[in-house]
Amino acid sequence: MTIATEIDTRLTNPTIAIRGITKSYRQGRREIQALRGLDLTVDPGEFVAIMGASGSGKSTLLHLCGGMDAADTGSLVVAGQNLTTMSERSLTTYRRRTVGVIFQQFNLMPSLDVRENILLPAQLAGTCNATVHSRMEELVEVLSLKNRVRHRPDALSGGEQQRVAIARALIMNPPVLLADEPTGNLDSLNAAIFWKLLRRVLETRTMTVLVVTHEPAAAAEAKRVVVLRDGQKTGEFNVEVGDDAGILATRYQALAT
Amino acid sequence: MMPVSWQLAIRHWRHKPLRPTLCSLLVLIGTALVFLAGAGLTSGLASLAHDLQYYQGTADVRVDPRIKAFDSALPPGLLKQIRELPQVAYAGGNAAGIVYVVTHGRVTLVHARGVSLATAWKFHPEKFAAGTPAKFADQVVLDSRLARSFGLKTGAMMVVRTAPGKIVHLRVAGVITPSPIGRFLEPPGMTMSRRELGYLTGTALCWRQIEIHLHHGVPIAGFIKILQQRSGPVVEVHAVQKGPAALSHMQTAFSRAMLFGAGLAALSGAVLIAVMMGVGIQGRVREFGQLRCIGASRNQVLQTVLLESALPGLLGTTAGLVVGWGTSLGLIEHYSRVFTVCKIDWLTVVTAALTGLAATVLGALVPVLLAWRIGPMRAVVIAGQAVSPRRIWAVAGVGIAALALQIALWQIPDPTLRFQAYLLVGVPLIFFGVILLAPMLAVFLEKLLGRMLARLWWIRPELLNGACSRRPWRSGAMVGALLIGIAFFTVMRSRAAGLVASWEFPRGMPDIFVFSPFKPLPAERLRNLDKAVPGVAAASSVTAFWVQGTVGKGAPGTILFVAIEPRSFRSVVRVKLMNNRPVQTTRAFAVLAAGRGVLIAAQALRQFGLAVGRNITLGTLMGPVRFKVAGIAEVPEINMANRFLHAGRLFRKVASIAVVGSRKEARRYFGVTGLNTVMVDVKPGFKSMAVMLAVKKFLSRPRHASLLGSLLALSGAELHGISIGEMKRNLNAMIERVMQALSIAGLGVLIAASIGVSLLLMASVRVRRQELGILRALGAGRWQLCRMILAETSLLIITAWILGTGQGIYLAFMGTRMDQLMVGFNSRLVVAWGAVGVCGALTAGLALLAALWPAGRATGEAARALIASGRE
Ligand SMILES: Nc1ncnc2c1ncn2[C@@H]1O[C@H](COP(=O)(O)OP(=O)(O)OP(=O)(O)O)[C@@H](O)[C@H]1O
Ligand SMILES: [Mg+2]
Repeated sequence: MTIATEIDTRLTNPTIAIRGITKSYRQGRREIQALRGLDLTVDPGEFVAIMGASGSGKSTLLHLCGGMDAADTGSLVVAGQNLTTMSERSLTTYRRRTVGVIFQQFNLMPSLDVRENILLPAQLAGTCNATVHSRMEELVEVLSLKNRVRHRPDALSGGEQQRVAIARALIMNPPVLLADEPTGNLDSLNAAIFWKLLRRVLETRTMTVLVVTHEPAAAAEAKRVVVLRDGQKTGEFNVEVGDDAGILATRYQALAT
Repeated sequence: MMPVSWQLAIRHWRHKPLRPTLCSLLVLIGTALVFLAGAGLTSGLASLAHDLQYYQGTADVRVDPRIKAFDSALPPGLLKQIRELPQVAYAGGNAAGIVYVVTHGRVTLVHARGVSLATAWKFHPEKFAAGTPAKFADQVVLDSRLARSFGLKTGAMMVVRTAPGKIVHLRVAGVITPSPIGRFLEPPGMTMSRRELGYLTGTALCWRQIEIHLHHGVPIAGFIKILQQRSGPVVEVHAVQKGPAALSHMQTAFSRAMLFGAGLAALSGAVLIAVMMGVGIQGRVREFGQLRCIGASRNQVLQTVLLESALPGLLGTTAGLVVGWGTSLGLIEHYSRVFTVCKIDWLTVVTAALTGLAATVLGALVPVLLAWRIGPMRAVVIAGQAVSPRRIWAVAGVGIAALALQIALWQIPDPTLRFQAYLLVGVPLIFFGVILLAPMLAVFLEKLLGRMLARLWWIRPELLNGACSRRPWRSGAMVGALLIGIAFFTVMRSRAAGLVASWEFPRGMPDIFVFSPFKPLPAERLRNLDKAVPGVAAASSVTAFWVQGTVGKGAPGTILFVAIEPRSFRSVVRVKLMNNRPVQTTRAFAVLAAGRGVLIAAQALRQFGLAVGRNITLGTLMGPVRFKVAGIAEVPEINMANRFLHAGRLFRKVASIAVVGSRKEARRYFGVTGLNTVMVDVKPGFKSMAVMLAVKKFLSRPRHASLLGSLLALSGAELHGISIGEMKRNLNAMIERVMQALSIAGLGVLIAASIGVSLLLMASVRVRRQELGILRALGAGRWQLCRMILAETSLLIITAWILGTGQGIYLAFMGTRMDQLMVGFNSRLVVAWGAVGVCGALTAGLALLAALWPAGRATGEAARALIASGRE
């Protein structure tokens, strides 16, 4: 494959192609359908916001895209890799190189301090070189964690923990970023810093971003908003330049109810 | 640069040092326990071998009288003939007698061995290793115990009075210290020339045993055949089994018992460690899931865990080996009366090390395997998920299956195989089965007793909801750790109580036994005993000796023949005869009197499937003769009594069963005429000790009056008399001593388990700090939370009590069945409720304290710090 065709496929083929995926959780005898035949296509470099009521399956979708859980049925292709048929080994590589994830519950390692938590993905991947270190310094600086680097997660505020999770997701400079309520715990100032950071990253490289959010203001950062209800896509709309939170909220309300 | 997986492991230890530290401690305890058991096993076996060597000596071949009655002897002139055989390098004989030693005006009765001076030390170099062998007829070698009590040293002169009333001076040539087992089994005695002993006792002593050392290269089996043919059926020529072969009988029994102990120790250690690793397992599974989510490979997680467990495992194992080694040396030194040899072989070290390490690594692998099986995200959320009751039931089902399998193992027809299979597989199955039942029972008891316990601890019942059912595996594991000590202690104490209670003599037994170890009792005086001695209601004399016998198609074995006087026997011993249906006693005794009939003890019925009317073949002087079983006597104690009276010979020949036949038969078929035991019933109103003394005096009064003779008769010293009460006390003391040792082992496990459980409880309260913090934040009071934890702990304790006591009683019950199977002794199951109660209270107290301490500390902290500490 030549470089030209590679770029070609990357541009013409969608980065995320989801066809009819279902996912159910079993708890004892009860079964909860978290996703019921969801379709979603995200183009390379696209910035998509996912909205939906609580329990509509947003986090589940993100976990499936991150290769951290397996779908029951349907197909799921991310960056040309079919997650439904991949071996565990290649899934590990996928998680290391292709996606960066910001979890709703942060999932920081309690025994490591901020710096180590941020560097952990690079260390696990065995690519913890000077570039990664300088990127870490930069992220710490931008996310104003500078005087918190030696703290452990349980000594951080919720917002600080969230910022560490953000830095950790970006440290590998992944082609796909999956963020679950990345600004849910942040004040408006820090949320603005995050969006600015993301915009800057997107300027310098092609990154496909999938952000789960409740806030119309956050959705305004995206190019497109996909609305989920009861594990299904109920609709989507594009975000035009100049759309403000109020407009988006009304559009979302129309689709979500 | 260290691999990231290692860094993670080290960081985890530094972040949460409690668990790995406790884990190392547990590994230490487990390893030390296994080490101790192993060292006990090897040292015990080595000591046994050593002591046996001491007894067996260096002889290749030994000649004994075929019928081993107390006064049987070898034909005169046999030793001389044997010495003339070309194959024989050297040969020597042993005889026995009693002499009267006078020291400081006191006359003491002393057992004396008459030997061939020239060869005795060659046959028993071990015995003489510390002392000088006697070289001349007027020299003796003294047992160190005698030397001490007489105040005699090597070179001193000793005054011995002879039966006809003469005084002889003998020089002490050497003093030898008997081996520990020898000290227990052999009465203190002295060794001298047989001729001198014959002179002193006033009888022509015949050899009781001849030892032969063959020239190098002479085939032993061939020589035995030749010698047996030459010397006829009255003697028995047999090879002396040396080394491992000689040990086989005792070794298997001993090593089985010790292996059992070692196995239990290893099992308990492993379970404790695995449980420790299991505490907080969900937190670990969650962390592994998180790591996998951000790109850790399975191997990286595996490495982290292996290192994480290997570090405390290695530390604990190393420390455990050191502690185990030290304690073993100390204990073996302290019990040097039992352990002559201290032997710790590499197998013990390796086994102990492996148990500790393997248990840690296996325990640590469980969370990895869990995280491995399920996806990374499932692993992250697993901690929040409830366990379905179906799983708990499934696990309990496996437990019940294990218990059923264990019952199935007991059905193996071959007794030896059954015993081994049961010990090696069955007993561990009981442990696993019971532990697997624990989660179910804990959840069940939570439902049943939750309200009551809540009221007892003065907390709202809702606080106890889900105490066990929310964390059934952890609860089950805690119960498992708690119950091991309880079960172990229960079984040990119950076995001790059961064995002691089982020795009880039935009412039908005579009140007094008087036993003459070397000389036959005077027959005509025995006949007049009831008339001549006041207080004697009835008397009957018996003698017992060993013969060879076969039952059915079985291999020949040693059988104790108890020769009785059928008529008078029944007046003293009220035998209950039974088969499957009661047998008429008169008819049975009629068969006995008519000839070629025997009674057998009830355990023979179970061991060999003998029944009334079946035959038992005994090796007589005329060759094999078939005797008919006339009845089955429910007096196993007659066997026990004889074993006790012949304790000195126990080491050489252990009769597997006893048969009771008539004296007439003893005379006709075995040539045994002498009587050595008389059983007496005491008239009401007489003290049995006084009557016993009178009987002894009457029986030992010499025919021809002499000063010394009268002196001895006054004390009745040459007869051993024992009242049933005293005999029972002696037996009980003996058993009690053995059981004390066993109970110490049980106590050791209990203490080790208690330490382990306390550590576990502390750890398990600590992992719940966040939960406690949230409850505090929601308004729960500090003492309320402490009481809640105490209530939860009591739930665990109650579950452990039920399972542990049940398991202990069941194991004790199986112990009685094993007695029956392997020894033929019908021991009873007695549950030592007192000990069980004390042990239960102890465990409960310790467990509650162990839970209260961290609970008090945790709830004392600020709620916010507690919540934060668990936020991950
Ligand atoms: N591990 C699990 N076991 C059982 N049910 C689950 C599990 N994870 C999610 N669910 C259920 O699946 C449904 C979708 O969950 P999901 O976390 O995707 O919702 P969400 O859209 O992210 O909600 P929120 O906005 O509140 O985060 C919910 O009803 C949830 O209860
Ligand atoms: Mg969510």
